Amino acid sequence: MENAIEIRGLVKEYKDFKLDSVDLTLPGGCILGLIGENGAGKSTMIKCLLGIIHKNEGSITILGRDADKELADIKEDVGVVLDDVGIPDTFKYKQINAVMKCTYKNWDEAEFEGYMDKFGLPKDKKFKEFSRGMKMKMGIAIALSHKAKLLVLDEATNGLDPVIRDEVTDIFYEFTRDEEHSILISSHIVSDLEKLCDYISFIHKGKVLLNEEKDVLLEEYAILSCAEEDLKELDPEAIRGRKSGKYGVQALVKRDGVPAGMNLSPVTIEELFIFMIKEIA
Amino acid sequence: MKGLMVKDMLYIRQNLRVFSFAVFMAVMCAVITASKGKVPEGLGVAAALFLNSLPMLFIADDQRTGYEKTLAYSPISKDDMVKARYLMILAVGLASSLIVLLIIGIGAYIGSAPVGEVLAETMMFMVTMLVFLSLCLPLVYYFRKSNAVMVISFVVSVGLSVVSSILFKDGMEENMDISLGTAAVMLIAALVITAVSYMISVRIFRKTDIC
Repeated sequence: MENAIEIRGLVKEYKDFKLDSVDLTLPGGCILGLIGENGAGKSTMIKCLLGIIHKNEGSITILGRDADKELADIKEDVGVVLDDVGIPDTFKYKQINAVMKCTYKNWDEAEFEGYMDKFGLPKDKKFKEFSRGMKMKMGIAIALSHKAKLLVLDEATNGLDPVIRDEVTDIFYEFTRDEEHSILISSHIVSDLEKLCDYISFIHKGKVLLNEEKDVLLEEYAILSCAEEDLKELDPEAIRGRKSGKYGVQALVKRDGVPAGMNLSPVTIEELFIFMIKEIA
Repeated sequence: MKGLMVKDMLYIRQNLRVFSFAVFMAVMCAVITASKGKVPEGLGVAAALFLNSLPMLFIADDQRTGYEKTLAYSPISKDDMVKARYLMILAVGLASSLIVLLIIGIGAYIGSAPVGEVLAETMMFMVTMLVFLSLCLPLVYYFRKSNAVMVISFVVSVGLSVVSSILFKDGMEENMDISLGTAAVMLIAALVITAVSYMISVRIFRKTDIC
């Protein structure tokens, strides 16, 4: 199966920030979680991917097609939810449906209405009267209602209460049951990504630190709790981050670099990210 | 492109009061035509200048609500985004012209004013809209400050209206009569200017980062 997204050598320069030779791959039928702190470059990368901003260098392929040449056509198959949903203030469900019906060839009115009901969105309220959470739900409903093959979600679950976030996460998971469907999702809520994603990509200050299968990461890395002296005996290559505490040291280590018998515990994606970033800092 | 045009049409329907002033000006024109038997130059033009703000209202509203970003990831190219706006100008200009023609035409019929004058005034209405918007829209795309351009264009519109009404008031009305033939030529020229403006806007917008 072809990759849903292939980014090679992506460069975007601003005065005080640079997305620096980013490579990213989202295999078809998978969910890729993009994790990074504020200002890391997640949204910049997504905007370059969608052609919202121009890139300085690099190539982008979406669903097997060159984004530089066929971007408008590709977007028929891409559902997008950004951190801010942009809909005219005075529009209600009827107007939004009318516009989207004329925008997307595969717009499914029945599906849109279904999501409106599922998310409990009022059909007779103007968009400006929606709460932030309701606006995000509307954005998600729109993204899911035109038979998209790829969903690109930039902080799409922000502002949603935990119950709806769980429901939406289930919907995203269902979405990828179809092998032709893929999702690129960026979020600060790492626990959502951990639950949902097959692949994880860490981005920090414009550089991708890693892009790996989640299960491989969780197998490869662990948290070692030990005394400072014990840590010194380890191969430095095996240590990817450390945190000193009152009772000793916690270190992020590669399992295969640690001798048997040491106190290893499973690592979460969040811990992995925090350790790596702190080590770089 | 169709989606964007539908969105703009829905926006117009929800903001019909923007048209009310222009309709009022056209009615004033009709009343004067009916009473004097002559179409007053300038009032229709003033209405057109007021309507110039409409396309910039669309763009300003899209920037304010973030719909511009929604458009950016919709299956519509940048060229089509600009094309939709220019087509909307033509459509609104034509529709407004027909309404103005109808209203002033009634007044002309009552006042036995020549049909040629009515047609000329209507064409000048469309010429004014097209030329003014053709000048403003590339600026909006270049500076990305549609609110500022809209305010400036509105101020200039009002200024031009005031100046033209002062000129006419001083009895220069006879000298300002525009024949039907001249108006037709000016309309064709305005359409050409609009086409050139479109090409400039497309080139500018292609290089623009939407956010």
